[in-house]
Amino acid sequence: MSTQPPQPPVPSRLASIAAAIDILDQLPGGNLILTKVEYLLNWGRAASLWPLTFGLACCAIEMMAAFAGRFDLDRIGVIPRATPRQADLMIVAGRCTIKMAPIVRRLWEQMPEPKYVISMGSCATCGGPFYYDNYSILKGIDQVVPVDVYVPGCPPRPEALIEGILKLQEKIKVEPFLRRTVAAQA
Amino acid sequence: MSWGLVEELQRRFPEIEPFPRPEESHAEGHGPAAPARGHGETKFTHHVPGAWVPAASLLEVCRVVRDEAPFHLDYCSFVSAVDWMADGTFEVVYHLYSMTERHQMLLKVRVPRQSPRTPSVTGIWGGTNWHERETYDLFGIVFEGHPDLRRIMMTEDWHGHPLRKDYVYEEPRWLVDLATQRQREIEGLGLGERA
Amino acid sequence: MPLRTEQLMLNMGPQHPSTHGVLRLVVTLDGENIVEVQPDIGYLHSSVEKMMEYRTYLMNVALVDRGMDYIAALANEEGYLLAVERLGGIDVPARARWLRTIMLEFQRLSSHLVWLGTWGIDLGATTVFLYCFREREVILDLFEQVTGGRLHHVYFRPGGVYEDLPPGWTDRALAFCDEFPGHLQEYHDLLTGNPIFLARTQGVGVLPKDAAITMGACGPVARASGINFDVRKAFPYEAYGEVEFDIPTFEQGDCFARYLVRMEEMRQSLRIIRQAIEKLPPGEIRSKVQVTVKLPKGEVYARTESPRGDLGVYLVSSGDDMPYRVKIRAPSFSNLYALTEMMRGWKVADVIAILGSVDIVLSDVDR
Ligand code: SF4
Repeated sequence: MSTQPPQPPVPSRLASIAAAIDILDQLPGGNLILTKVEYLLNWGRAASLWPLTFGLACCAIEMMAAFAGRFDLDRIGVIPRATPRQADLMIVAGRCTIKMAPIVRRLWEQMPEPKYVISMGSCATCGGPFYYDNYSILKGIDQVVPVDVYVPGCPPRPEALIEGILKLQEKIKVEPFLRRTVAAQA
Repeated sequence: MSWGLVEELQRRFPEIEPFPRPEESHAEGHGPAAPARGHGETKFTHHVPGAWVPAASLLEVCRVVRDEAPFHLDYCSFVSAVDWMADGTFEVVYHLYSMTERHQMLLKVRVPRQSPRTPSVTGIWGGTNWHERETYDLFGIVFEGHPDLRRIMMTEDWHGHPLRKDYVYEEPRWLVDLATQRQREIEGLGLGERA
Repeated sequence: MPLRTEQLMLNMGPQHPSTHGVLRLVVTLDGENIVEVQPDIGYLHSSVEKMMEYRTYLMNVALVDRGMDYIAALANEEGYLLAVERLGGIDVPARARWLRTIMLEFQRLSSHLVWLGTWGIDLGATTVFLYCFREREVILDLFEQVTGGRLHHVYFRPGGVYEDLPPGWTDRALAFCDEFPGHLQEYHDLLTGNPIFLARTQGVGVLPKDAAITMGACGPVARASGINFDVRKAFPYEAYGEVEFDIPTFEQGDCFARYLVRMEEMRQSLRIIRQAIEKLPPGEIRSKVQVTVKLPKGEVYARTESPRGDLGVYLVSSGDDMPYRVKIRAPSFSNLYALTEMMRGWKVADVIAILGSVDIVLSDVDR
């Protein structure tokens, strides 16, 4: 016999939407949406990720293809920005050399919080095909900046990058964002 | 035809040493593939015509092959080097091509590994500027008279010259420090937490 | 008394949306005028030449795809394998040679499309980018059906190619060849008559012919300056000796001429593809070559015409199953050096237009 109290089931996203619709139906007039402020903020942040256009090597070409007509990342609110100060997502697309690493770090520091990093391709993840006998490539971008999502592949197809962004959105949606900000300020 | 060019060059500069010709008549470096040859052969085959030039007369040879008939080699494709560690020499390689006459030639300069120095040909072919900088960066060969001999590929504070055969890779200090610090930052964080 | 102003140093990059990668330009300005441009490269130096000394000849095929000009991966494979095959005396069957020619020309098309699209963005014509990538996806689909990869193919092998064409591929390729001239016309309609485009490119960034030769410019940049040189004609490799095509050459040497050269090259590529598909002989696609092939001692220099210019591979073998030394003579490296000559005296607003017109790939510059 377990002494632990039964855990409440974790509401999935669909379930919470359904619950919201339920509440709406019961209210007179039904034009009022009740939700957690945090959920709303997270939803907004997740649906408008603005990445820094920051191509390093071959993977950047696939990233460009993902922004272009057929794959069209604009659909999910991903619009490339040219400056780190307007961006909240950094897609490290391609291999990063030791000469480039301090610059990647500085760009990451210039981005405003909250910021996220996607490491695209096996080079950015771990050095990839340039791991052995190599004197100039950084063996993984996570040595200099923290990474949220790793997208494997050499190069990852644009679909894989989109999947990575969707995974990041899932992560953003469940983040205790407000609580952390308040705690940090207190 | 290009092999004849080398002979012509030797007639003018007796001190140069032409490459031994390959036995096959059509192993000129272009044209159809040469027939398969047996393994175990130890002779070094030069598929491109050319010659070894002493460093002292390099500049003069270069000026002649650029300006005078029948050479007119006005285009320098690349400058690079080969590290023959067992012999204790570097070979600096120049590939030349003629846009008007359509022939090509290799020039090689042997320099000792201890003190690799050779004159710069930037005054003759302006485009070799970066090629010589690259060779300096990756092999450590000093081109005397180069206008701006700096590292080009690696950072200024890099140790060693990577394309030498005895190069040992060494992680830069700042990178090790940064990576260690990053390690410490993410220690003790559970999954789902932002690292 | 002449008005003297202080010179201004402007730093562009290494992260800049218009440098096509990680290039840093240090521009010295006198007011609006460019006094000097110093490109600072090496931010993508991937030590390919060192790595190739520790890999067998077959493994290196996968490496040159990635480590060199990644927009035209097949052109790198061709350049490298040509050197290997010449040094080893390896025979390539006729069908494989023609297949390689078809693939190389498709690669040239897709590479030029990337160039046109990104240059369009640089000059403020985003539509061109979307159009070019639309056509490029069709080419990538054709590639994928044959090689299995979109960007990195590892399709050419020592002594031939890896796979034969799938059924129906030639029809799809020909269908593309039929519809592509219409798309080319679309690009012409968007750009060639566009007054803004003309004002930004015509007469801008002139590279005179003799400067182009001394600076070592090659490929479309050299052809726009009046140098009638194409490796495909001068040293025919694969099946280029047996097809008909023209080399577009212009005398002006400005950005607009470079644009016209590449646009015309695309049309010539279509011509080559059509002829090659028509003449494609049946038969073997790969001759027997050991996986760990040992090449005889010697050195060779093989030149090919990659979409960016004269790509040379200087290969030294010491009789082992790995190369002793590989020097890659990258076309972008030479063209980027010629950029310092092109930019002198122009306005700061022209930097982007001139840089884009040279069509460099930073991985090719740095290797
Ligand atoms: S993972 Fe592959 S495609 Fe991406 S940068 Fe590295 S080598 Fe290029």
